[in-house]
Amino acid sequence: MPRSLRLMLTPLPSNTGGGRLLFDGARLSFALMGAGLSKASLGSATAGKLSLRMTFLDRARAPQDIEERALATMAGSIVFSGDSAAVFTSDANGWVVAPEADDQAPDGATSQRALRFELESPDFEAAVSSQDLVVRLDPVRFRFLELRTKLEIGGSTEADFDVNDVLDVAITASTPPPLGATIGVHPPLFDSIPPSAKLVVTPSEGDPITFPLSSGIDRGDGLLSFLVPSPKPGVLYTAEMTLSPADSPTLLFQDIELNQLVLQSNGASAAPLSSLGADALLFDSTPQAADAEEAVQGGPDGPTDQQLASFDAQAGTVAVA
Amino acid sequence: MAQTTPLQVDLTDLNGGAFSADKVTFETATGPTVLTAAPFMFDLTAAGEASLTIEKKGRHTFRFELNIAATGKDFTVSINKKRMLDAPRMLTLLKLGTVGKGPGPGRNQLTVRMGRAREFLLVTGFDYPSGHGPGGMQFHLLATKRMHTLRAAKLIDDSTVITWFDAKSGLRTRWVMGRGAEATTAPPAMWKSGWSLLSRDGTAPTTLQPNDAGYPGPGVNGMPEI
Repeated sequence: MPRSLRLMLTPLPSNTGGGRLLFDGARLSFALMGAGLSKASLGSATAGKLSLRMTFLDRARAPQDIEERALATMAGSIVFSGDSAAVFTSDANGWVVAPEADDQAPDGATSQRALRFELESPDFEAAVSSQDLVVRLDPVRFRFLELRTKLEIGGSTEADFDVNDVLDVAITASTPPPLGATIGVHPPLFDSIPPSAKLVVTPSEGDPITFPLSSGIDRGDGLLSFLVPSPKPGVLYTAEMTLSPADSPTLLFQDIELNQLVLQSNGASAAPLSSLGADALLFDSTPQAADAEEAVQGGPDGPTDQQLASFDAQAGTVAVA
Repeated sequence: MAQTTPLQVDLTDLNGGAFSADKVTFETATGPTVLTAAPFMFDLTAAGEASLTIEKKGRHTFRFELNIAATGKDFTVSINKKRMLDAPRMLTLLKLGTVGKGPGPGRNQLTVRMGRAREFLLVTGFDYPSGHGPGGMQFHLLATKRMHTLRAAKLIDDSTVITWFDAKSGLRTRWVMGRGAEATTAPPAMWKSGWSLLSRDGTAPTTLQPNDAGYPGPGVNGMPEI
């Protein structure tokens, strides 16, 4: 049966909290093309290679200014495990950034941003299934980024850049995200965070950085993350969160050198950080109405308001050690 | 595949000062890791349920139920709300990481705030239907009301344990304050948020109907199971 492979790119939403749907990465998977004859074999691995190429555009339609650069490659081997299932096993290096991604960047491309790439299972087997790749771009000159992929098997092109999916990325101040350290806060399990909530990160050098709730990023890990851009070595950071204007700030951590995280992310051992000394994020406690089933559970009679008040008055006299 | 990710556990007193524990145990499906001195650093290597137990002589033993999820390139710890109902206020859980700097994992930081060893004991009876009366008094509402009062009046701190013996369910439950707003629900769960369930043990009664063998008799609001 004629068959060959192409790459699919499923966009990953940036979840930056605004009303506009933006993407800052993609999940890669394989799809079958009915035509052609794949160089991949059933049960026998063949060398394979994936390439990423980026095109910067000043506008989406009829662009006047275009710049193209290679981004990264991934080497490995690929095998058909069935009539329609292909598995690409990457080598230990994962994505390797192409030298020209930096070398050929023009002088104006000073903004460093991160694009996320996830490898779909079981289409891919890799040591790291998710990896950020750094892109240098000029956000003044360009407003859009198109990302294309190429698949090579056995030294031949299986699916070229014009055959596979294209990832469209709008370039804004926050998308793709600038490089930096993230502070992920666990949102309450049942309550919503008040819209007035804000995170204030104070460096030991420089002005405090205020993050409104809307700047929190949902990266799909169940956390509300805030991005501190480019933390510098030797600078200590203190983070406080305020849920509503009437509340006093809650200390999340104090005097943490966020740049240690950068070193750790680049392979340094995970030495203990100084104690966070954190306070809990507190929410007002107001009893809510009982469930409907609670009212009938165990019988018709609940304590009356008078009984509860009487009990409360007596209970309040208990001495606290 | 998510990479091994560090979990750092910091123990502090209510003022943010260091708190020493005799033993901190982090247990996953692959087994327990026991540390007896700071730094309490653990490796997250697989997704699934986990628990963190803190022991110190003369103090309550706290066991917190956690979830570990593979989230892209690393693992993220969260509170197991299925088991604890709500996130304890005495825990602060953060995930620190990087964007684009390198392929390495982020790190999970868990701070546990321990106050003095204090415990409130609540006992609620069971009003059997009998010749003495129709029964059905919902005594558990007195207990949830009492817990709310203790909380609202700030008579307890985040690590004060409420131990509740409930005659009707036969269960002993232990609670600390949760982060969410209080919301009660039907027994035996009692709370669906606002309080975090540390443990639940005991044996549910087997005789609740007057016609059943072992029924304690009319006019008795007994708690034989306790």
